[in-house]
Amino acid sequence: MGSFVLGGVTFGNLFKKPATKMYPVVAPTYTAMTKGSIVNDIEACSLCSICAKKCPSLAINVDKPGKTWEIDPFACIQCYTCVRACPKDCLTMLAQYTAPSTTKEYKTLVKTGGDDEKAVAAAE
Amino acid sequence: MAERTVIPFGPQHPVLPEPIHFDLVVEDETVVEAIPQIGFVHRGLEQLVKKKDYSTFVSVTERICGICSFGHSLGYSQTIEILMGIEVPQRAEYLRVILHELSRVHSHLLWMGLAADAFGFENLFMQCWRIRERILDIFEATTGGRVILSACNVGGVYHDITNEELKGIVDVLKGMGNEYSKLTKTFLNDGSVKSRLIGVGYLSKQDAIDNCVVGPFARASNVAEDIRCYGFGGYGYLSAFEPIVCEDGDGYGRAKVRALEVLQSIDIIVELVSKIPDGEVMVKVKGSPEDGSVSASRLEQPRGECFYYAKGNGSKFLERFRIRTPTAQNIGGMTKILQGCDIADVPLNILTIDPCISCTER
Repeated sequence: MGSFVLGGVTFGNLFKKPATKMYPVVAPTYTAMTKGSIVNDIEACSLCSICAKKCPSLAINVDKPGKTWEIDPFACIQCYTCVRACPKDCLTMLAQYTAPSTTKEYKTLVKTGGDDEKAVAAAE
Repeated sequence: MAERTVIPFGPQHPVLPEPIHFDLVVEDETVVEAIPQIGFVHRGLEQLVKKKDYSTFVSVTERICGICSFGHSLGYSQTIEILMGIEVPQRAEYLRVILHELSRVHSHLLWMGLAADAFGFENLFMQCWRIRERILDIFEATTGGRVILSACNVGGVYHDITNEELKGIVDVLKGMGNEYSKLTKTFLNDGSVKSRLIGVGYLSKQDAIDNCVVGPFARASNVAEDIRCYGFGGYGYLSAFEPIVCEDGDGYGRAKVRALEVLQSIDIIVELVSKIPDGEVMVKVKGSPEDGSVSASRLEQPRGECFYYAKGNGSKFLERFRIRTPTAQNIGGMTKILQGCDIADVPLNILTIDPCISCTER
């Protein structure tokens, strides 16, 4: 009896769209909430390193004197902790996942504009 | 009397989903004794409480298990809230139960797929997993993650799910219900499924009580034990809750209990969505657990009762955290049902209790 019910379901499936997608030919669709990867608007960042301290997987390194902010995208667990903790709101969670890579490398961002330049601009 | 032979089974075996080893003592084709051994994937997560503060540790508890990940974060948060005397907003309690019941639906659908796969019913396996995918889509749309949700922490839940989104979830579940009832009919009435499950791995009520088994494994042996009955957290807002029990005690009974629990979970979600109050979903948590404070809580995971214990030491790091997972409790019953079974039924018997060895190893 059960086989006939499932047979009906299977027959119906022949006339429906497939439940799967032909990835990567068809791009995956993400929702607005999807937790993919972290990006930092480095020029807005104050390099306060709260994100680095709060990160449960220690994926973020901040070097204030060197003006660099770096993240290991493969260590990041997309938990949103840094985004919530950021006082400047410069961290954003993108829906796109980190692209595959053959090596695990830090993604380093260098802050170009800084307090010194602002001070010079103010003096002028 | 036939000669006794010991057959090693696992931890790597084509039919085993998880790393557990059995020394099967067999006489001809019959298993007379099964000696289990675990410890292949032990991660020492409980010890990590000394290195991660109590609010960060929730990320660790979520990774105890990939299937009941939300349940573990909920159980941990609940324990710490008792430890620190935090009152969670009502809306957060409702949302937690809704997410937890969705986890149960997807866990049971996953098990039904795996069980169908184990007895070679590939079509049913794929139908179960196709339906399960919708639950994962709900998770992705509401919390951002498909498996690890990172939605719950001490004090509530991070993201509010709007009332419109909740209505959308109910619509999806109701739409799913029709397809799911067809699957259940197949699962419970199909001749090939019945011939593979009926009478296999029988556990009597007395044996279930003696071996302290929990969850659907116990309920299939007519032990009406479900932590949801006690009204912990948001379960207290339900109008009525009766655990689903079955008198069969065999693999078919366990399949039946799980199949019906999916419908029960859908009913729970529908009821809570109709009653959910508005308000905050997270309270700000300050301070640390007091020195010497202890707390314990219980939660009904998809696989059964899970017990949590926490001890504070005055700092933001806990002194001790312990989890007793359902599968750890069910291993005794599992060895019991393996005694006297046919050697060809061993994989299926192991599967019918829905083991999660990685949970057990923590």
